[in-house]
Amino acid sequence: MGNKIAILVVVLMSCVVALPAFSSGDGVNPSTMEKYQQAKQQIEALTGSSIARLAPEMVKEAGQSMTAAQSGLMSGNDKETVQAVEMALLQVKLAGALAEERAAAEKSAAAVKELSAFEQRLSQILTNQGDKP
Amino acid sequence: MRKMTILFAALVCALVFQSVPVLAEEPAYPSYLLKAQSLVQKAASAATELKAVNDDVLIAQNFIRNAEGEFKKNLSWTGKLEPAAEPTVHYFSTMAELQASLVLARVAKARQEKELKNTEAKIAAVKVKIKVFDDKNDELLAMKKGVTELNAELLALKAEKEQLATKLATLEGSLSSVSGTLTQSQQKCDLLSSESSRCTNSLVAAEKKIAELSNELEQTRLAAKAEREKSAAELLGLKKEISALAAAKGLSESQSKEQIETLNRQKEFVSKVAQLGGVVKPGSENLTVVFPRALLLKTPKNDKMSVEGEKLAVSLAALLQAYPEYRIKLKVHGFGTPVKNEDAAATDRMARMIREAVLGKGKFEPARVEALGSGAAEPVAPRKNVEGNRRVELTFVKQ
Repeated sequence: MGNKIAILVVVLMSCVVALPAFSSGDGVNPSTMEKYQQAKQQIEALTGSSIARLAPEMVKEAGQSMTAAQSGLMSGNDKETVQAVEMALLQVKLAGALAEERAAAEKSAAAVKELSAFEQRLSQILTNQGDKP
Repeated sequence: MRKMTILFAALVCALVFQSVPVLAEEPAYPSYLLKAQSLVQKAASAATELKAVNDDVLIAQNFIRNAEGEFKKNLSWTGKLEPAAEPTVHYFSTMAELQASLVLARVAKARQEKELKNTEAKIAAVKVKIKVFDDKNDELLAMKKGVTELNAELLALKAEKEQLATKLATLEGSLSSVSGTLTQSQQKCDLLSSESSRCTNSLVAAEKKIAELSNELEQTRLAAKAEREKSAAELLGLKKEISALAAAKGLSESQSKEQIETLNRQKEFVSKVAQLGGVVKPGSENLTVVFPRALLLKTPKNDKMSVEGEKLAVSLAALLQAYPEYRIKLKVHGFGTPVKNEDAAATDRMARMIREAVLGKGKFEPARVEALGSGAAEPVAPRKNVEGNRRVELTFVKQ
């Protein structure tokens, strides 16, 4: 009697534990699959681009998110896949923004350098140390 | 004892209140959520600089709210997050963090662009200032170049000045010698001046004399003019008379002249005819020349012209051309035996032969030469003188 109760409890507990797994393994929605493909294409398009050069860490993170999404896809977990894909898309977006920011920073730094050179030349001229014909 | 009980009860209550979460207070969020909250707040404050990112801030705040909601919703009675909700809360926190980072990146980009714009404006301003100096430098260079050129010109001028100084010294030497010459010339000039004044006086006297003579000449000229006019009037009268006389005289003179010319021409013609070589027999209206027949024709046949005959034909042709007012009557005479060679037919044939010879030597009307053979009908010499009767008579008649 005691064994039966114990078996029953174990079976019941297994069902309770396995229930979410079954419920999440119902398969991935086609719209999720479509989003996954879009994100994959966007990340692939970044290869060799200025974004990949200027914000490589974010592109790498997006790749990791895509790996997670692929994992969710393999296990048939739609929620995990959707979250990973959305994160990857946002990371791609952020990578673009970071790249633009860094490009602007490079330009600004170059301009500052140029300004510094001109100011130095002007200073030399004003202190009578500049170009003398 | 009672005090001890109360203290214990208070301690128990304190422990109970400490372990049970208070609903009014914020729960103890995990570090990643706190980090996300901080980043979202930072993004929200940064978004005041750039309105374009307001929507992104709202999205980030929404993610944070979702994370907080999930966290609160899944707290256990012990105040800890349910392990099953952990991934969702972590997901929303990460998304909030990413969204906030996106906002911050865009704001930072806008700041960089603004800074770049300011820097470029400063560069432009500094460039303008430098350009002023550069322009001045260019001007300075041009001026230096000009100075160099002027220096070169100055050197050239100095060299020229030295040359001129040398020339001047030479000229001064020449001038001193010229001055001596000039003094001599001055003296000569003075002499010439005195001579000139003397000449001037003579000239004045001469002019006076000329004026007197001119007056006399004018008077003489006037008298002569009056005389000339008078003479001219007389001359005009005489000329009229002379012209009247000349008109009368001219008529008679022209007639006489024509007669004289005609006579002269006749005289000349006669001399030319005499030069032909025959015997000339002048008549009242004509002129006849007689030639021995044997002189003009080759004997004994008499059928060809002799050399003398040809010469005579040439002379006759020239005579007829020079004197177109004359014509020739040619007559051949025969005599003796054989009769057939001396009869009219034979002599006529001879006459035509001579005529043809004359016509062949010049250009004139054939009618101006007539030919006739008279045979032995007109002898002019005794019978014994046969050759005297055998003759050719050329009679020149005016047309």
